[in-house]
Amino acid sequence: MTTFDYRCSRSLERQISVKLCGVVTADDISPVRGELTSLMGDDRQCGVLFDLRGVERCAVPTRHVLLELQRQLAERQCRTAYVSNRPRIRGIILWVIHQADDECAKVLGTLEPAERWIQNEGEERTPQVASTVTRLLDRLTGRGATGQGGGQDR
Amino acid sequence: MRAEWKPNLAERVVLRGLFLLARMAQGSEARLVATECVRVMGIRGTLRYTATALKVTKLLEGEFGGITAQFLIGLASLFIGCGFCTYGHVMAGAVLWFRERGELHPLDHYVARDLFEMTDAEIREKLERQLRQPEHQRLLLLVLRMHDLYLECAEGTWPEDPYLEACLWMWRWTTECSIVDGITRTPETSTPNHPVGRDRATLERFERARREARSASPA
Repeated sequence: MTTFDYRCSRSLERQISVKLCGVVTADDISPVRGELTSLMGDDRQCGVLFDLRGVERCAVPTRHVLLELQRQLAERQCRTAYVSNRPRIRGIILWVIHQADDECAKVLGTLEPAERWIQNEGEERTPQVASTVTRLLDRLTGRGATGQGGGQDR
Repeated sequence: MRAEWKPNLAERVVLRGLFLLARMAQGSEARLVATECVRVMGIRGTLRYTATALKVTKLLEGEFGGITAQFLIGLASLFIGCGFCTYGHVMAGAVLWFRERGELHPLDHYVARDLFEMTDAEIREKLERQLRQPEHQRLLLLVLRMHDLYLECAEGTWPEDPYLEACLWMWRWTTECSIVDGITRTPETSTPNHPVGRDRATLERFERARREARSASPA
């Protein structure tokens, strides 16, 4: 297990990157929040990218502290993306952004789509999901027959 | 903090109906998830969502078969991170397999718990080991392809892609609400999110066989 570490930096003019690694507990988030707030300064609506690919474990109670941070970002209308390569951590972040009612925050598995999400100003998470499902369904039902598989488990 | 949500009369009536339908359909009520759906989407939104989820499930079953569809839904939910949908659908797939074949499937809700703690790369390796037998090759190929689609690194196009994308996006929609339950869900507290959850006799036989197999080979 790696001990907790973090780095906050302004990666682009209107984007801040926060990289966390190791085992994250609730106490670890407070200095991250302080540094992020100071980096943001008066810049409302900047993008924030949380790179959690180095995080090995995040205790489930940590989510409450992350929720406070996400509410702060939602209030400032910052567009947020989280990247994690672990389902457990993606789930914790999904809970955080859902509870924060933040439609401009998203959790993804890889870096490139996360950066795209931050650039796509105006796009909201839930409407995007619902409209994509509708579009896919139209495409599938428009095909008529059931494609290639034939409905057999094999 | 968000003020505690209190459903109005119409919402309470709809919720009672949803609990009843869920109990009749799958033997458990999923109260927390249904309540969150109505809180977030309202009555019309919840009904629209439910109808869409049923349609997507039917399409997946039609394309891949009922057992494979449940595993795909469960693993899509795993990639997204929701325990409620992962355990409920993977368990459904495992119980359906057991009922049909009289043997345990190498994937079940306890294996899914192990997968939750891994990285994406480790998950792929574990799935390749678990599903190495020829009879599971199609499921393995579909799951790995769905994982590539989830990570947006899939190369080329497969005829199955629209179905796998529909599975991923539908359960992205579902987990928006089910995560309130999924964040703390464990295999021990899970039941199948499927009509097979009403088949108590099969569930008991499945659990007994699973426990015996685990105690015989704890690794």
